[in-house]
Amino acid sequence: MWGSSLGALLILLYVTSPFLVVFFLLVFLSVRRGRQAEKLLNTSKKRLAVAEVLWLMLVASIWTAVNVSSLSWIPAGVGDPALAVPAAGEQVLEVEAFMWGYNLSTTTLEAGRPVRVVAWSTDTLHSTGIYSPDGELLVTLMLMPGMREQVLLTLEPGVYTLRCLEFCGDGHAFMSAVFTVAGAGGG
Amino acid sequence: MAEEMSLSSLTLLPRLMFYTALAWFLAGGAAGLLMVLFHVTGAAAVPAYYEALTVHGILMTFGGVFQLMAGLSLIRAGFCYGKPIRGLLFLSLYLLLNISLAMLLASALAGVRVTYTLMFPLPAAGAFKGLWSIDMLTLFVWGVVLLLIAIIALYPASLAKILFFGKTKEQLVMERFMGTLSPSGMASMLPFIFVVPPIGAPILATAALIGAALLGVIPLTGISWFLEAVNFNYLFWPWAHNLMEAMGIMAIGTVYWIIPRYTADVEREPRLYSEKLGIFAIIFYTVAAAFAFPHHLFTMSSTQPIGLSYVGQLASWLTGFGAAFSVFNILATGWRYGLKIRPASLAVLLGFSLYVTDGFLAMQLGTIGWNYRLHGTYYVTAHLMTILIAVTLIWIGAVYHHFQLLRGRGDDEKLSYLHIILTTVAGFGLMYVMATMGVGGVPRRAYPIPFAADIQITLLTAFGALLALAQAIFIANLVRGGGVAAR
Ligand code: HEM
Ligand SMILES: [Cu+2]
Ligand SMILES: [Cu+2]
Repeated sequence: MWGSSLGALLILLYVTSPFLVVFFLLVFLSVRRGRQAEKLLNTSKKRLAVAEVLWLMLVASIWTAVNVSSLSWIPAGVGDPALAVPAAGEQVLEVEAFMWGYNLSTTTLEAGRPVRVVAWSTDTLHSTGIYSPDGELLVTLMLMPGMREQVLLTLEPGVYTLRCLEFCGDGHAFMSAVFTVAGAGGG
Repeated sequence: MAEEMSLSSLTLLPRLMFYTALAWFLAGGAAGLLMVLFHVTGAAAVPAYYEALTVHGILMTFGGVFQLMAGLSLIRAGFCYGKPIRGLLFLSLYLLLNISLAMLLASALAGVRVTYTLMFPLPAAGAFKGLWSIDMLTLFVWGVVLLLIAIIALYPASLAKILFFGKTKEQLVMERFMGTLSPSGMASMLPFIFVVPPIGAPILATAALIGAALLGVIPLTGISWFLEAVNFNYLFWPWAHNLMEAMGIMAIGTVYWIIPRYTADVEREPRLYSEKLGIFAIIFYTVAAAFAFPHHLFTMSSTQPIGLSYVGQLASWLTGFGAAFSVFNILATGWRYGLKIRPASLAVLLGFSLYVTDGFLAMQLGTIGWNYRLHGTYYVTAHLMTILIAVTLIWIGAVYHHFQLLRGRGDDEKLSYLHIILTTVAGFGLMYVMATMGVGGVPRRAYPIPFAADIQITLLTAFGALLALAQAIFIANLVRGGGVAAR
């Protein structure tokens, strides 16, 4: 959930809004303190040192929480040599990107079996963003000419859209293709 | 009289850079507004949109933000060290920077619409496909070469010349000498001097080789290694990333410099709450930033080794830790010594708040798992535009700090506050709207937008207009100003 794009927006809001409130509150209080010389003279250095430690601990815990949980958000098949070679039962979707469109090896896949997407570009830098039937961007692969990228997906039935997300010239916004995942058991 | 003369020997060229930056900001900003209007009306031809996009990106980033920073940082270093800013080196920085921008502008308007990040090998692939001519591509590439010379050689050399060479002229020292090792002094300029040139040299060499091949001076086959997309991009991104980080560190250094000068306790020598923590943050940030560049290439799932991606993620998040030290240091400085709000300190504080907020968004993009779902969307545009607006706002604080010197009279503070606050509101507005679009999966650099995004586009137009209005107020302030400053 937190690893989705919506999760990213929520965490952005949860982290930045309290930060901004506290930041501006402290600025406001510092301006007020500036008008009272005796307060400044009596500033407790100890308290500031404690605040520093608490603040760094807070940052460190957010830091650790995100970095550790994010490991499980990395799409399957990335960085795992065991998953680099096709296994039995997988379906393969080959995506060839060009200016400005896609050639797909097939446009119908079956639900319930893992899909190995193998993608490459024939001319310039492209990408293939895979959007779910309800329009969520599930994964994007950057396609540099000369290279092949892969990822493993498990897909629900529905119509999926591919779009290019790396600017590739005038036809960039028109680069798309669709494929269908049919329900298991020939639905 | 003699003193007058020597003061202008310091301010003349930086002022010229400041005004030229404003001119590029205006032209580039107009292109930005044009882009949102194209989205609203849907009336533009596709190439016109991408020409506006390329012009906007190049002019805002290099003509505007970089040149503003260059001019104001030279003035600042000059005042600290009491050195004039004149002579061949400084003049050639100014001329080369702006000539290269004129070349890039001309080639973009003549059709080379490849965005300011080049999208290599798009420049070549597009020429191949007949989208633009080889001649215009050649002009574009040589524009890039000259721009690179200005950024990675002439500008760092100019800073180094002031910091390390020549004699101090006491009458030019306008602010206390603070030295290269003090964070509220010149420490933030060191990464630009020592990190950007070595990382930039390979990409400059590559661009020059490609330029020479286009002119037929050397055979294309001789440089085929550099033309491989992967090779080029692994040279390009370390440079592009560290250039942006070096500019960010200079901006942080500006916060370190301005805020201690606007504390209530005027008796004391201006210092940060902790100078040690400041220097530590700069070093920490610079070192971490050097290893963060793999975050630009995370989504090459099989090509980029996962270990390199992890390094990129950790380094990206470590720069965030560097920023956390700065947040504490700045707030503690205000708390300990009391804050005085003036246009300079307000702009710096608001710019800093925008910078830190955007910094979190940037770390999200620096997270492998999230990057797979956000790369190439407006989430990325939200980040790059916000960081540039934040850095600009921080340097605008330096403009207000030096208003008297730049304009020969004071500012109209009401106009100054209005300018700063409206700019901040527009900056945050653009950031959150673009972030929302990115989460909706809207591809960046796409015209027409292949999604229903009317509401977001309307909001972008509104915040864009607000940003433009704020800058109109700024210009009115520069032109008319107030009376004699009461600083
Ligand atoms: C200091 C102010 C600004 C700076 C430094 C700035 C900088 C940039 C840069 C570098 C880009 C990336 C271009 C690219 O993707 O190739 C960009 C994109 C964009 N800018 Fe700005 N910009 C500023 C203000 C504005 C304003 C006032 C508007 C008008 C509302 C605007 C609208 C846009 C839009 C719509 C995009 C995204 C275009 C796309 O991805 O299709 N910007 N900006
Ligand atoms: Cu494409
Ligand atoms: Cu980067």
